Order: sequence, then C-alpha cells, then structure tokens
Amino acid sequence: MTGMTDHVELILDGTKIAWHQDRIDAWERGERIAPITIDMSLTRACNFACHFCYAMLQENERKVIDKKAIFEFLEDCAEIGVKGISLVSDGESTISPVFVDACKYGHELGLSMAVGTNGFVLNRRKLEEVLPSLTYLRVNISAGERKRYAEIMGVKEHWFDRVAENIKAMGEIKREQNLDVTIGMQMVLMPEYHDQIMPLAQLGKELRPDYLVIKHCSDDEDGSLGVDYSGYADLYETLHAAEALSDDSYQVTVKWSKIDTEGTRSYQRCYGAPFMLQMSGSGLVAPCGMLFNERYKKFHIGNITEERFRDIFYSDRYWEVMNYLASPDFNAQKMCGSLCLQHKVNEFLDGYQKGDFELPEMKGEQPMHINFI
Amino acid sequence: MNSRADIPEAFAGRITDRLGHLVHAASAPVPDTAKIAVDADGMSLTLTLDNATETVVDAHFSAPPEAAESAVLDLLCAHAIGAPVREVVEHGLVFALHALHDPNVPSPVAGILTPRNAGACFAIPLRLVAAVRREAEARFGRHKDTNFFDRPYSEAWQKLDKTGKRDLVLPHIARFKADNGLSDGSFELVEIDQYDRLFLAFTDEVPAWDKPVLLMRLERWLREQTGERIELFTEVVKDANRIRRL
Ligand SMILES: C[S@@+](CC[C@H](N)C(=O)[O-])C[C@H]1O[C@@H](n2cnc3c(N)ncnc32)[C@H](O)[C@@H]1O
Ligand code: SF4
Repeated sequence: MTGMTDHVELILDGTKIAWHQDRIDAWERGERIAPITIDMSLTRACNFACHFCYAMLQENERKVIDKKAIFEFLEDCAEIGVKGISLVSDGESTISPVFVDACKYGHELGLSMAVGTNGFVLNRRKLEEVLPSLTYLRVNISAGERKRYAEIMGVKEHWFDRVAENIKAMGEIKREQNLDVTIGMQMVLMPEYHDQIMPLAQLGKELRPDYLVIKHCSDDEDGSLGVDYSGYADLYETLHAAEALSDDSYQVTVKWSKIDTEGTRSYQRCYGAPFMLQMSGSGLVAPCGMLFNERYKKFHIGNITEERFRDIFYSDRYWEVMNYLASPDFNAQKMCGSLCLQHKVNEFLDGYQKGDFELPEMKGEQPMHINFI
Repeated sequence: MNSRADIPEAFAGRITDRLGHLVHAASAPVPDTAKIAVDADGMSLTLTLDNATETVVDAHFSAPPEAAESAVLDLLCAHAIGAPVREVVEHGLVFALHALHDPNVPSPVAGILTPRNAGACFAIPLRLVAAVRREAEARFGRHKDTNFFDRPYSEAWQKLDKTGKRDLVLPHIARFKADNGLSDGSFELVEIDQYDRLFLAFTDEVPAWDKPVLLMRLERWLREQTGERIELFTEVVKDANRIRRL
C-alpha cells in the first residue's frame, strides 16, 4: 500500500487500546491517566449542513479557541502524556484561523495530529502546509454523485467537484513528497443513502485516497436524527460489493462491528472516556460528544478557553465525572445515544473488567496510527 | 480476612453501618441442583437459582460477621436477588462498591475506582465472584448475547402520574436549595418526561460553572432521598449552525 508498510495493518474497525498496556495498568491501579487520544475541534462552526450530522445535537455555549488557548492546550497535552489529537469532533476545524498553526505546533511538540474534514477549504496550498504534520487526514463524504452530494451534505452541487479535486490533490502531494500521512474518505451511511455506496466506492478508486471507510450513523438516545437501524441489513450485499473494489493501494472497509449491532451496546459502564477524551469546538471538556449539549451540563468539566487543560485534567471534578461514568449511577445502554466514538474501547475495557478475558499480550509490529485508539 | 485498619476511609462508615444489620448472612438449606455454592479463603457465597431463567431467587454468604468482606458480600447478595446470575458476575461487585463508598470522603484511589483497586476487602469477594462465573458458565454456557439487566424504578414510583412524581421530588429539591444557600427561584423543575428524566431550568443566579457540580450533587441527593435512580438534565440547546436541519 502506498505509504503503508505492507505488513502493517491499518485498523479501521476495531480498537488499538490493547497496545497501550502501560496505560491500562495505571488505570487499573487507580492512577490519573492522561488520555491516549483526544478528539476535538477548533470551532463548532461549519460551512456544510450534512443531513446526518450529529454535531447538530451537540450545541453548547460557544467560546472561541484562539491561538493562545490552543497552543497552551497542546503544550499541556504533551506535558501530561497525551499521544494523539484528532481535529474532528463537532465542527469544521479547517475553517478556524488557527487550523494550520495548531497542526504544525502539535506535531512539533511530538503529538500525533490528525484531521477529519469536509475537505472544502483544503486546497493544494493549504494541504502542502499541513499534510507533513499529520498522521491521517480523513474527508467526510457520503455521496459519490454531485446531486446526491448536494442533498446529503447540504451544499451546492459544484462543491462536490472542488472537494473531489482536493481529495485528489491530497494523494498527489502525499506521493510527491513521500509523506507518511494516510488519506481517507469516510461515508456516514444512513440506510436511505444506499444508492451512493457504489458510486462513492468507485469515486474513491478514481481519486486514490488510501481508504474509504463506511460506517453506521449514530443517533442520540431520543433518535433525533431518525436513523432506521433495521434498514442496514438489506444493504449487506452492496456493502460487500463496495469492499470488493479494494485494490493494492485503496482499501474499502465497512465498519461491520458497529453496523451489525444495530446500535446496541454490550456494556453499561463507560470506562473508555479517560483513555479517549472528546472536546467540543467551543473549548468545552466533556467526556464525549454525546454529552456536549447543554442538556448534559451535569457532565461538563471545564473549558480550555478559560482554564489550562492540565489544571482541568488534574482537577477532582474531572475524575468525579469519569468515575460517575464508571459507576452504577450510569448505564450507557440507557443513557447514551447509539454507538459513540469510544464504543470499541468501552467494549474492550468492560469485557476485561468483567473478567471475560485477560489482557492479551501484544506481539509483532504495532498497527498504524497507534496513538489514535 | 481484612483487618479493620486496612479499610479505606471512604468505605469505613458504610461498612460499619452494614455490618450492624447484615441481611444475607444466614444460610438456609437448598437443594443442590438449584444452587451455586462457592468458597474461597474461608468465606462462601451461595446463590439459589431458578434454573429455567438463570435468575437468583435467594443469596447468602458466610464470613466472619465483623469482617469488612461481610458488608461487601451482603450488598452483593442484595443486588443478586432477582437478577440473572450473569448480572451478579458482571456488575454485582460494582454495585456493592458504590453502595459502600461515601462520596464525601476522598476515594482510596485518585483515578477510576473499581473493585480491583478498591482495597483488600474486595479481594476475596472478587475470587468468589470469579468462582460463581466458572460454575455458571459450566451450567449454562457462556452467553454471547447482551446483558441488558437494569433495575426498574420501584412499583410505587411507576404507579405515580407526572404530578405525583413532581410532588414526591419537589420537597427534596426545596430542602436541597435551602441546605445549599440557593434561593427558591435559582432553578426549577420544568419537566419529567416519559422516560422519567427530570429537566431543570436555571436562572442567572447560578453561575454557569456551578451548575454541573450542583446537578451532580442534587441528583445524588434525590437518589438517596427517594431510593430511585433519578436522572437530572438541563434543557436542550438547539444547533446554532442555522443551515443544518434540526
Ligand atoms: C461532525 S464531523 C466534524 C468534523 C468535520 N466537519 C467533518 O465533516 O469531518 C465529525 C465526523 O463525524 C462524522 N459524523 C457526523 N455525523 C455523524 C453521525 N450521525 N454518525 C456517525 N458519524 C457522524 C463525520 O463523518 C465526520 O467524520
Ligand atoms: S461537515 Fe462535519 S460538522 Fe459540518 S455538517 Fe457535515 S459532518 Fe457536521
């Protein structure tokens, strides 16, 4: 695979948490562990209006993350032992004025940096600036045809052409500069987008990112987005056909493990948040995106535009919230929306905590993107 | 067995309370086929099962009555009765741990508290539960499906209509406000929805960053006072990106 060592695996449907045994051991001893991965955004604003977007449900008091706030945050992350930061979460980070600087500075500090974006403003010039600092860049794209793209992503039809051009440029720059970055496309699949599975898989084959991942659509516990989870079963054949379009340097992967579960969770406690923290583009620190909305104020911990992250991390309040999630006061099966970012990590840690298995001894070469668990 | 000196402070008060009135310490004879009986280090745990549903109909333990483990096992038994044996194995000790933990006293660990790091008084109970697991899996096989067991609200609560539920919680809310120096108008209960979630609305009297802590404390208070697993929320804020659909 281009830029990927042949035998090193790119895990798109699973968790790499087991590779971080030292952190699991420290967690088990009851130590205050720094998150391995933080998923955050530099803003809650967005220039798109994706029909499926769960950020719609995550509104909270907006504060501006300026250069000082993000630089101090990144310094704190490096200091306390965070390993990877993905700029995805609940906004379009590329439209923040601090976007390029944040990617570069994080990288300089030794943090693995990654970005999830609609890709619209990432022209060749911007890409040349940021790609060398990134571990992965993933474009959110849920259609392979102009008209449907406009409908599903809530934008004008010709924006599709620009995004496609940018994706093509990503692969080209990567190859020209022999960069280590992985370029991805991600389809959030609502059953009613079934007609776009094959056109998108085909589009990827032409644009040549490293992969296309197709994942289920998450909803909140009230079903606000209206996802029909029973509708996925009819799509299995098409999804397999899309996977079959994979070739030597283009991998199409369906997140089967999430699609198969129809949105249910095997666990009640949420042990994953201290390992994988999510933060809002408002600067809010809350355990996960599903809890960003003001409605879940009970879980809100602090804001990096008002306080240093290291102080938030070491505060009793941070650990009070994390302990609440790990206690019988909380039941993820009832209180959370469908399958969150931390889902696979939660599944693993809960199984381990219940005694379903011993910690596996991880041998061989580490998978790619180890700092994004 | 655990000497009382080893007991973390956060558990000491409630362990003493529980040891004062153990409920499941006496063991009544039951037919072998309906029993899972395990022992470790001189302590034992006996679960009487309805084999058809794998539900625990009765639970007992034996351990020295003054040992901290007795309090842990007593609470484990309390959680077990009426639950599938699988629930006992998966969550029984988490429930016992949190029932014993006084949130007003610093936790024995700085990070995440689990039965495995909660101190020596959980060591033997953990072994007993592991033994129950082995026995249960030998008898019923290992479950591949999901355990959704969750204790419902009490029958008394379920029988109440919305007004009845409001009337039940409002005096406790008023008491909480008074105890915490909050005025009557600082916040109000605006809704109890169909899932029994309580929604509160705050006025400006409460500074923004006081709300999260207050909500968690109030929730705990209401749970203690009512015995129900009350959940508190604040009102939803709508998406400020106006071009999106919700
Ligand atoms: C909310 S977006 C914000 C980042 C950036 N604007 C983007 O579009 O990638 C974050 C990621 O969540 C994914 N996403 C959005 N809504 C989703 C949903 N309902 N279920 C699952 N994933 C979703 C998108 O594919 C995107 O990769
Ligand atoms: S581009 Fe990202 S944040 Fe914007 S609406 Fe789409 S999924 Fe949501």
